Amino acid sequence: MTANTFLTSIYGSLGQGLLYAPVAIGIYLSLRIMKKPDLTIEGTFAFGAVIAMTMLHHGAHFMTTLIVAPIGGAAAGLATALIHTKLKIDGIISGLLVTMALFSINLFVMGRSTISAPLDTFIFAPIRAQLAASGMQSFHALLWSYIIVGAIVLVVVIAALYFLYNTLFGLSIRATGDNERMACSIGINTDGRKICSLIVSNAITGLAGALVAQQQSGANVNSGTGVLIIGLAALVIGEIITPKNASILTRLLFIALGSFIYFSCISLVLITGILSPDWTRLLTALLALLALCMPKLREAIFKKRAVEIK
Amino acid sequence: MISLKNVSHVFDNGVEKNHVLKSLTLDVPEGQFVTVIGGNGAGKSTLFNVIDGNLRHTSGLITIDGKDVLRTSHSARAALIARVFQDPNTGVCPELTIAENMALAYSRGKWPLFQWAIRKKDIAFFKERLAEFDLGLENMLRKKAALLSGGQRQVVTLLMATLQKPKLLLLDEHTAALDPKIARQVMGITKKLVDEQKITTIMISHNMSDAIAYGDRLIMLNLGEIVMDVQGREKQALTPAELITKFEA
Repeated sequence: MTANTFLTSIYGSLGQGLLYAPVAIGIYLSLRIMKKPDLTIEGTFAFGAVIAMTMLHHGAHFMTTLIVAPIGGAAAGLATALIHTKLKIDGIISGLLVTMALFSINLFVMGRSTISAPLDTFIFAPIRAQLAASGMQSFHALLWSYIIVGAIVLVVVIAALYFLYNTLFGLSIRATGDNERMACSIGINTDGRKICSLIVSNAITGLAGALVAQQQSGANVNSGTGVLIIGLAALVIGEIITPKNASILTRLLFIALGSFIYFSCISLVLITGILSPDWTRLLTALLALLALCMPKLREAIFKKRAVEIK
Repeated sequence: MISLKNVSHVFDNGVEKNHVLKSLTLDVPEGQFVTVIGGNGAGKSTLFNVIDGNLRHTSGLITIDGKDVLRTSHSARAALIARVFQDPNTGVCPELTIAENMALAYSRGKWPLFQWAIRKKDIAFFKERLAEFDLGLENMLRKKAALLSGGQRQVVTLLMATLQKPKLLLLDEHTAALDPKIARQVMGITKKLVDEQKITTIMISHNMSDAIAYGDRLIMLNLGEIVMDVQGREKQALTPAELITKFEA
């Protein structure tokens, strides 16, 4: 492995990490803030991807996909939330039901099983062209366009969430996840807050789906498969390195960093050639598992030390 | 003025009907502090659950300052009534800081939703209020509520409940889970907070001497009915021993 391939792989991971970070943030909002896992994520991601690609295929401008894909995601989140809160169906099952339904809806939206659009219609095209015109190597220009677009979108998402979750409204959402009985007793409409939370997390996921579809130059009904575990791995890696008592803003930034670390790990293993890309999913599962076990491992190691000192 | 007229509540599991509250009528004038005692199944908690809307399908009429509370929305009722529970874990959000918990309680019933949650002037106000208790809580505003002890949580919960004067404060054996020393301290703080703002208060207690020592009026419930209702000198003259005999009668 030369220094050059190493650097290229880091650039690639940075771009991937930034583009997938919103998914990890969406998972954070439901899993950590509402303390309820949301399995709609995979369906929503594919939905966002399919919406964006179909729109581009039919000649829409990429900016409009950045609006319509999150709206599609929000609608999916709303569906899950209504099934969960109004029909009192378990949250996990609600998510699975919506994901299942989205499969057909995606086929209907595309009108076929897979769809693509010309490269120059993608959100990355203008930046890439600019970079190439300034003399950058074409492959590097492509990688950098991912990084720049990913960073801009991520900054907007994190800023929006930072403001939302620091208002009384955001605080009431956090209270609903933290102590529903207390939230209810001070008059917070807890069902309403659960619905809002799912709308927000799925809108963000839909947006990520739209971006990743353009990075992968296409979408199909399986675009969302595996995204949940990728996002979870990124989230838990980020949480391991997050300082204690961190504010929401710091947490969100560390989740993005976790996403970058996750993709770096995967790509470093792959470029060494030890494993073929077929093993990516297994690697992801192991990474997520390792990250999930980390707090317990750390505790076990520290406990041992404390005993030794005694 | 809190007024209950012929309030009845029946638990019906389809097989048998259990009349937990039997045509209860009670008027609590503005600013009165009522203590409620009664054995298990007397209907004390049901009474609170009916008043604050946790239980529905209750017959009768409950009004607060003339407003029918059985037929108002959940959030409108929460703006009028504050309740402190026995379990210290129910009153605060452990993952939120003390300041955030207080900010939520401070906006109870108003919900200016998109206002910044923690504002400088609010922080100063919260600090000032917490400092009154000499528990060092004022220096913990930015700490998570999970770090508070049970007693500290109940104090913070009480303060949250009274930050904005409620029309009615319901205390549901709020010192029962604390050790005797802390319980006494929390009762002292309760009295201070209630007296300061002359809050209309109903307190359920299992502690006979507390029930006599605190409040202006004492009510004993048995099987969903008021079996004793004393105030003033008559209440002051009561002894725990007397109450226990009544209790067992």
